[in-house]
Amino acid sequence: MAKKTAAKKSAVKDKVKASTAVTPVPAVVPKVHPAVVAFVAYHIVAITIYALPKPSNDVLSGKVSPRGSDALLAFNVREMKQWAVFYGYLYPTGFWQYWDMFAPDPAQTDIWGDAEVTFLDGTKTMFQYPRMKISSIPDKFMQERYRKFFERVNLEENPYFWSPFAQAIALKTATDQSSPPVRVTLFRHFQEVMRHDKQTPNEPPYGSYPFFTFVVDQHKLFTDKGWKLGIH
Amino acid sequence: MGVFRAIMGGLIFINFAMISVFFKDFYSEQGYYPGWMGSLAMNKDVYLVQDGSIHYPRIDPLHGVTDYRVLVAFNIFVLIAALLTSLGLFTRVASICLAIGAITLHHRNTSILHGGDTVVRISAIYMAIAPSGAAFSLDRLIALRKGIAPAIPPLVSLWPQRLIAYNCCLIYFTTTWAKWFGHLWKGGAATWYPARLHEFDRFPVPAFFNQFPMVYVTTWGTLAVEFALATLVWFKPLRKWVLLSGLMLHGYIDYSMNIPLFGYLMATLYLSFYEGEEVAAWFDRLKARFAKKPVTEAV
Repeated sequence: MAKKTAAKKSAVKDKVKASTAVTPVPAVVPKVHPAVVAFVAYHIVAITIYALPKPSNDVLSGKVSPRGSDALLAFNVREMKQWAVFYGYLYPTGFWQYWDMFAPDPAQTDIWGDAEVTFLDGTKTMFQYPRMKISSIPDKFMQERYRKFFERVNLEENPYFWSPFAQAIALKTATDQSSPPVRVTLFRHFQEVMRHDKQTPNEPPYGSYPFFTFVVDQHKLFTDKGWKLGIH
Repeated sequence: MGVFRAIMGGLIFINFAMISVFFKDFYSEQGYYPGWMGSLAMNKDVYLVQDGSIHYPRIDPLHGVTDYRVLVAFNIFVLIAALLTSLGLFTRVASICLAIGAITLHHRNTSILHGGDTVVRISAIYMAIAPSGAAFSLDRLIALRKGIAPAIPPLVSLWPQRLIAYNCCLIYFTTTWAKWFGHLWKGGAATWYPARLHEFDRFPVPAFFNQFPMVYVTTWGTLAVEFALATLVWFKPLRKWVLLSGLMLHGYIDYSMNIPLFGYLMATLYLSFYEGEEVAAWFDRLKARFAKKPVTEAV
């Protein structure tokens, strides 16, 4: 039996050896045009400059003078990233890139949003923007973009997001032409993640507060809904 | 490149197909992000110039387009281009159309983009400039049937593939460096926090994984694996093990956190570290292992 097993193994090994024998390849190695070489070198420099991280905030603000690699990164941000020869190539072509996933530190606040919609007749309703925590696994897989979008909406430095966001919510909740939405209030819900060095038995509660109130553009609403204007 | 094209093209198709389900919300004038926001946001989201003013034209055929039917038609065009690229049919034209389509849709709305989308966009461009249809493609199969292609695919320069590999290493190198500025990563506590961001919850993970000392392992382990993927991966004896550790890293992230497709996209980039002969030899070994056993053995 042992001889048969050894023979079997040997047959398989021989077969594998035969199949992996290197196929003869043509002797001619394709020559690369010098222009291609130059482009590749330029491209590598350009994407590297843009992907290099920013130095620490203290260095950027001038609080601390940069030393070592910080000096290189500071020079990169202040000088090389401003050179048109690089951003003039990356920006139009779509090769722009920056890899700061969970960097310099991961997010430490869980956030989600919703909105309160007030109608002409005084009634109110809560608009539930897709929330990943309460969605099923397939739903959240499909709807992750909504979480990403609200991550941007949520930022104080992005106020230009808020009006179109609120207007779209008004459109989604408009069902009765005689009582259209007139006001949308955006809410932020947040939870500061429990600190690793100050653990508590229970997770901290969620807080929430309104961060933007929008008076609905009735003309746009009626136009988008295909309703006849002039009813009111 | 052929295998890379087939898999990455398929992932790009899936990516845009998923966005298509909510296309109206993020690309129409009645949605959360009307077209005029695209130009404004580009200046803020892309870390290019500090004064926020960009005066260069960019690839954006949809600039100023507000008709939803045109936007939908363009989206379908991109999906078809992705499918054809994956199959390797009319590869050159399809891959160029896919690259232009991906860049356009990303320039139209940057607010829903994450790291995986950047991988999508740059991969699409690399596939367009590389001879990605030369092997493992319907184009080649059709050419073989017609008798106009050689039995062995012609040698091509590896520079597009090396560019993809370099870009992959750049991702890991710069993200490791950026993390090094964070005191949580250096201190070993960084992975404590994403595990408690409930908006990212996916499949359940044993409790001890998100407690100390396991948090130290996952935090410093992440840094070590990412650094290895930027450096040691070029050393052939270690390449397989480094890439396997990368697969484990992204596999765990994909299991525990809801970041759709990102792990698969990064794993696909790993193919660029293997040359065509190595991939072909791997397929041959696989074929031989599943081949019929010889019938001459005595019972």
